[in-house]
Amino acid sequence: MKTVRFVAYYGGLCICSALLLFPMVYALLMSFMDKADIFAGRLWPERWEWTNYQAAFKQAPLGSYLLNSLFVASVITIGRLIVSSLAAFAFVFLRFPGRDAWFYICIATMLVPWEATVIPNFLTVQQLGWTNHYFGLTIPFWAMAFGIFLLRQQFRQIPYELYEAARLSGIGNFRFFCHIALPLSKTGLVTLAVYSFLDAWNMYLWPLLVTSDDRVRTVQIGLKQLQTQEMANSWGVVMAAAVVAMLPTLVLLFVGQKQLRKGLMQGAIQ
Amino acid sequence: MAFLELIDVTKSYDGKKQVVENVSVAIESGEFFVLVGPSGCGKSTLLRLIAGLESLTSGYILIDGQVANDWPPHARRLSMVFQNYALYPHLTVEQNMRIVLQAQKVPKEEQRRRCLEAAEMLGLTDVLGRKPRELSGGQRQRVALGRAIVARTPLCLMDEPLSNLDAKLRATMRVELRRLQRQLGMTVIYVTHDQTEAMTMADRVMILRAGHPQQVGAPLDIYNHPANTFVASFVGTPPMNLAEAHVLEHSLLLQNERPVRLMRRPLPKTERVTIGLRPEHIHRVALGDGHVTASIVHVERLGSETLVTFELTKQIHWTARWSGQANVTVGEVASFSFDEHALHFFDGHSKRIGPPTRREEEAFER
Repeated sequence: MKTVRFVAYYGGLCICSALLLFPMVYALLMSFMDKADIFAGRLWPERWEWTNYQAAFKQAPLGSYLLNSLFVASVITIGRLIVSSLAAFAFVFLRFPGRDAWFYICIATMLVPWEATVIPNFLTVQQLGWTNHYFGLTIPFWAMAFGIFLLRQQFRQIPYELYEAARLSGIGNFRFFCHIALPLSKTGLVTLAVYSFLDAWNMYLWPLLVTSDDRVRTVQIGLKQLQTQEMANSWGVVMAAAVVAMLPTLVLLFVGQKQLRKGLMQGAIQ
Repeated sequence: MAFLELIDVTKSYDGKKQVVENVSVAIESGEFFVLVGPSGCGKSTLLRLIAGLESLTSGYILIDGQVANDWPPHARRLSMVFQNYALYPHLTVEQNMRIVLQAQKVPKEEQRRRCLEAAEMLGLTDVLGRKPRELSGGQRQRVALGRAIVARTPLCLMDEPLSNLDAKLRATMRVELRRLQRQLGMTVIYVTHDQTEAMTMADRVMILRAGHPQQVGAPLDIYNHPANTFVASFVGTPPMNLAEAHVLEHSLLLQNERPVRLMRRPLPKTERVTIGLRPEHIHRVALGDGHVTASIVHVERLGSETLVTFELTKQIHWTARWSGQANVTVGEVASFSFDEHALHFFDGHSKRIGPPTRREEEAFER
């Protein structure tokens, strides 16, 4: 009975992970194939080639797209951490009239789908003259209800007595925020940072809307460009570019995972 | 002039129920003042009002003669030791103490000096570099105290600081805390639910019940002259024995069923009273003598003394405290005599009446 269950569990898991991994692994393999291999429908490259990667960087400004993406994703991540942590701090530690009501209003914005706000957001950004500019790509994403919610939960783990003790000894709000609240909330901050970075890195529709200039465009648009330009003949090049675009997110996940585990352990001991 | 004065301090969270009501007291500089009462009596709220962590509903708080109602916590120049210590878990012992001084912009050299001084005083020198989670409960408690000491505030508030320690450590810390307080000349307001702590540590005690002060005074005064039955039964272990009584010509009828003949005529003019008697004022006498004869229902031998519980009536059991290891067994019938001068009388509202305590009589005779 036990063995049957074991086989069923792991068999199921293996099938699911195979299904999940296949597109990624196949993309990686395709990026090393030449056209003949791809059109023959091979699963394994006959000869391992790097030419697709060279072509990808040559045919499109993939390098500058990658740098743009890195910059935009970093700025969004940092901005989000600052705005969310300050807002969450206020919702947890400061007392002001209607505090909880404001918080729920803030959370309620999560119910509004992103698609519904795209047009008004675009108009605002256009009015501000932020199109084709990093401002338009980053600032609209700084405020985020989910981030505030996540960090509020994190800050609530901090015993309120710590805040009271700080008030009694004359430690001001900002000092408490920087020296006590933030260091004690590493787990939540790292989680939000990883989530935000991935979110920003994979953005497609918004950068497409607010940019038309290659100098500020991000890598996801670059991929799409390659695909349309090279339709029907150079799938290997497209796949090579996709693999390159995927790498930073994978690295971040591995590094972040380790950090997250550390953070969780610390929380357990306190 | 009193160092800290509370005038008609009242606090209500919902505008209907008063958590603290009309508390007035003046606390002198260098005094060890204990607020004691059962849980939920408002003692911690009162402390938080003094600290400025809660705002008053009405009344005044005077610090050094100035109305401090609206002063923010740090302007009141006081430190506080919390029940759970409120140490910053990511900072070392030294940083935990120094952060207080950094906020007060004390020069770095002075910070270090004060930290070392406090650490030495509290035996924390070897653990200055450790984080709170690497310390024992007793050491964490000391760090919390250390934070109060380095700040050098004239007033220190303590909210059940010893309640998380085991019994043995608590007893040691009681002595040590008191020694430190005297050495530093701090004024301490100390909150506890443990009447033993109150009795052993305090210069003066305030007993609170449901937000109302019941009695304020030196521990022994309260023990000897409890203002009402609540105080009588709250202070002292085991608590004072109480029973309802009818006052007759030369005797008392306890709980409507047990007559007790007295040598002296009881003083109260009211007919129905509650009488109280401390366990140490009940003695064993030869069978048939004394005030009552009753069967023993429970015996606790503590080595130096024996607590004997006997059946005064079916519902009311009284306890006697005899020194030494008394030779009694459960189920035995014995006779007990009462020290009549030590009888306490309380009226229908459970308020103390009459002066029949020896001290007051002696004072009267003089």
